[in-house]
Amino acid sequence: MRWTTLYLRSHRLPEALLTAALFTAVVWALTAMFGHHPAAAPNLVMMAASLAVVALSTTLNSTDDALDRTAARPWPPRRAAHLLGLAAGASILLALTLLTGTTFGPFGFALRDALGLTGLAALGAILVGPHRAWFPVVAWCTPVIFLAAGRQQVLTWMIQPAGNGPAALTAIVLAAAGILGYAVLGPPRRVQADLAGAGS
Amino acid sequence: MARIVSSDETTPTRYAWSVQAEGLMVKAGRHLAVNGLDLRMGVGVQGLLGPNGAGKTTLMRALATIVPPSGGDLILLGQRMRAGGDARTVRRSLGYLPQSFGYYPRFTVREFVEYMAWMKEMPAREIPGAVQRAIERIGLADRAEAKLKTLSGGMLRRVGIAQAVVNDPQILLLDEPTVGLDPEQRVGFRELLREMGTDACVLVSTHLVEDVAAACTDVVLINEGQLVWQGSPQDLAGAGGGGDAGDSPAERGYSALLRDHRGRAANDPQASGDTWGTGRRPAR
Amino acid sequence: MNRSFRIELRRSNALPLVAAVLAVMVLSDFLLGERNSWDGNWMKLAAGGRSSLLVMVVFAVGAGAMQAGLDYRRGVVELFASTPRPRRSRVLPVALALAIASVLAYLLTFAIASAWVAPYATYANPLAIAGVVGVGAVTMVTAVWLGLLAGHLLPSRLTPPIASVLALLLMAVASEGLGSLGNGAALSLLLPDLSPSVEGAATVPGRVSALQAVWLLAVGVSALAAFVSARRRFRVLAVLPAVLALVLVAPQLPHGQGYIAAYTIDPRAAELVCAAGTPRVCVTRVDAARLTQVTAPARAALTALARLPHSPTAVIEQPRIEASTVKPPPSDRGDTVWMDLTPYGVDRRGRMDPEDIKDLTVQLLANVGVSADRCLRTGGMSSADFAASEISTAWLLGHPPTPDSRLPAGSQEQTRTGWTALTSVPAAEQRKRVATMRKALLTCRGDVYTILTKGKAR
Repeated sequence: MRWTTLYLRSHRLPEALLTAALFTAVVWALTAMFGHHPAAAPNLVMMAASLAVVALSTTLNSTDDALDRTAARPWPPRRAAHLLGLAAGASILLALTLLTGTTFGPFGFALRDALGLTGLAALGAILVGPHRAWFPVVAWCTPVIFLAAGRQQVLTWMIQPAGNGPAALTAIVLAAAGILGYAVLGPPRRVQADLAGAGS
Repeated sequence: MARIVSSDETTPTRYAWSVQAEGLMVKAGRHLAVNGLDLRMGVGVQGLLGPNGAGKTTLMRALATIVPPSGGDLILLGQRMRAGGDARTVRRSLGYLPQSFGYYPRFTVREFVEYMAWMKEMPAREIPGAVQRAIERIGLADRAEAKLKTLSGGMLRRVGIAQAVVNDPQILLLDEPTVGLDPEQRVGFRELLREMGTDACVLVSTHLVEDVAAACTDVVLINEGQLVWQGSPQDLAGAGGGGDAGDSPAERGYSALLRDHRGRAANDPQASGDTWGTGRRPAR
Repeated sequence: MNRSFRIELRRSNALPLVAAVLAVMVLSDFLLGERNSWDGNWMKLAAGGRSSLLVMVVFAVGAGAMQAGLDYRRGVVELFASTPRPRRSRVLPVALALAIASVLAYLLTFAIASAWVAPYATYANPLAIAGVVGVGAVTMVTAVWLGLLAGHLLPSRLTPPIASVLALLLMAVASEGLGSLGNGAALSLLLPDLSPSVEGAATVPGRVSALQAVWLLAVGVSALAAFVSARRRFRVLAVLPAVLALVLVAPQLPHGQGYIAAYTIDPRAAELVCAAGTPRVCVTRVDAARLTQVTAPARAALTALARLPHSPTAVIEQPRIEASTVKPPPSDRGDTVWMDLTPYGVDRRGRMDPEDIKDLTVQLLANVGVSADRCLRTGGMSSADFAASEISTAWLLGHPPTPDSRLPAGSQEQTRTGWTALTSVPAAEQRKRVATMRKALLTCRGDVYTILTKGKAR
């Protein structure tokens, strides 16, 4: 338990969690004020999910990769657990709104989005590094915000209704590829200088 | 390599000391790291020694005008440093290498030193020549177009030294400059120090006592934010005796002087087993 | 300054920003877009570009925030603090480089998309277009400078992603929210989003574009001033330009419901271009590319209507700003059928959908060639009115009405019974009834369903 606490603190979980919670609350408040239905529009739920995931994805950053690499204990299960925890955290934040008058749901929708976006962030972490893991998440969610669900079920999987097959499949594929990939491969080796301010 | 000397540099200075501190107090965060320091440094190479936490880095930062003094007087090149004051004139004649040297990895060596020269407001026409000189002095002329991210730790440190000396500063502050340098490079570095010390006030903060002994004309020893001792390296070596901790005369002198200083503050910490110099008695 | 500027341009986020924006915009258009052609209309394209700012601004803010945090992540803050060069001199080239990059990204996207408009456009108002595009460019600069400020004030790794998504949230939610705030509609023009669902003859007056540009530029200047200032006291003062602009500009903005208030009809775009020969078929200059495609169906409608006395002799497109109700001009005395081309788009080759062309004739014959908005009644058209229109159109075309599931159920039933009632009387009487119906619609007096089924205006 102590190890977990230290690990989470070294990866700056408290700040990230606080930020994620804060901004989920901001989106929730805006929806409550300006939104029209008890159930928030799918685009807004996607936005809340992406906020939570990108905030929490900053915890993938570690201060010294080289030092981490020398650890005796195996990293893959821990990295996988980290990502699953990330997805769980984002889902929980969204699920908390189900208790309120303005819901970010249904829960299946929120869970699918949280898992899929976490997988996407993990893929980003593998490709461009954990400090830029949020790039693919924002890059994909942003054009989709324009659109309504209906067409292109795979490409706009985040805003499809909860039961939609292709969308769920896409999310699962992204989650599996991202989580397994990151667990096995880990972040790319980084230059000395990138680590200098990695804590900031 | 000859260079054109401006009239500013040939006029005699109107101040006695390059660096003058009286009762200087500087805070590092909330902790008063420099606590009543009296110091006078002129042209030459000064070595700054002291235990960890003595306030060396904070002193360097105050001299580099990064942190304003919270009390006492600090006069650099005849100009009084004050919170809210304008330190630009002093900074033009300043060279600083921080302990944690940050850089832009995608810049090349030349670009980075040029950038720092520009930051020090050197006249544009002088920059290319000064940069070339600086790069040659640190021995990286063959890697001038290499990106900083491809360099080893020691080479990076040398680039840091290059940017510190590019504007031929009158006050040169080097915090742990020999980290990562191999023994041959350290010898070359000492040569550079001696060269700089002929017309600038150089302050080198280091834990490597033999560097101090070899290159410095003056040694400043501080502890707990105050000046403990200032004198020549020979006097430092002479201060120690056979019974003091250390593998060289300079180290023995260092231990002796610290012990005496602490002895003035508290009774006989050496006898109580305080070999690591923490100032605390070990648990029995 | 010059050399450091060039270094910053190369080494900063400027080029990746341009590349990322272009890549996302082009990919979204191909993968997610609906092959938008903007109907060969420059103003629609410009307005579309403004609403796609939603996406581009996100990247601008993110890039700015990442750039500003760079000094902290690289650990050079302490080193730079010991140098004499003031902060503003050092960071201004960066801000400039990023501003140029973001404007470039925006203009390049516009240029690429204009490849689908330029071949088929028949009208352009360069000043208005420049105004609309210009406000977009200013928005990009402001966005990137706001990003820089955010990254500088909060140099954490959380700042760029959060700032980007917040920018998205602001643009998406606030413009809707502000627009629905009743009289606060002028506030929605403070945001640069312009609805792309405007129609052909709409234009944004130069004055409105200028006001928006001034306000957005002031926000950008405030952000830049706060970013380059080294002391907190000046940062606080930096908010003045934005506040001043808000106070001066907001009252001058047109009031109305949302960003539609920004638009007016462009008189030159509304000029008529007519086909050769008679009867007259005219479209607005801005839709002139479709003239050849609409002439045949329009003349077919006029031929059908010629069975009636005092039948109309021309089909003219009515200029409008949006696809909603527009009353015919007051001078209209029933000899013109007013055409509405807004439901029919043009593909990327400038061609109308053949289904739409067929539908045009039906549209023109609806309500016996009288504009439904002529007698705008409270409650709109009743189901009987819809039925009457279906019956009369079917009569003019010479075949029984086809069941149309888009109509309310009551209408469909009334259509069936009404058609039986009408066709049960002799042909001369049928003609008289339809003519009376037309007269009733022109004078806004009488219940048209009763006229068709019973022959009397009661």
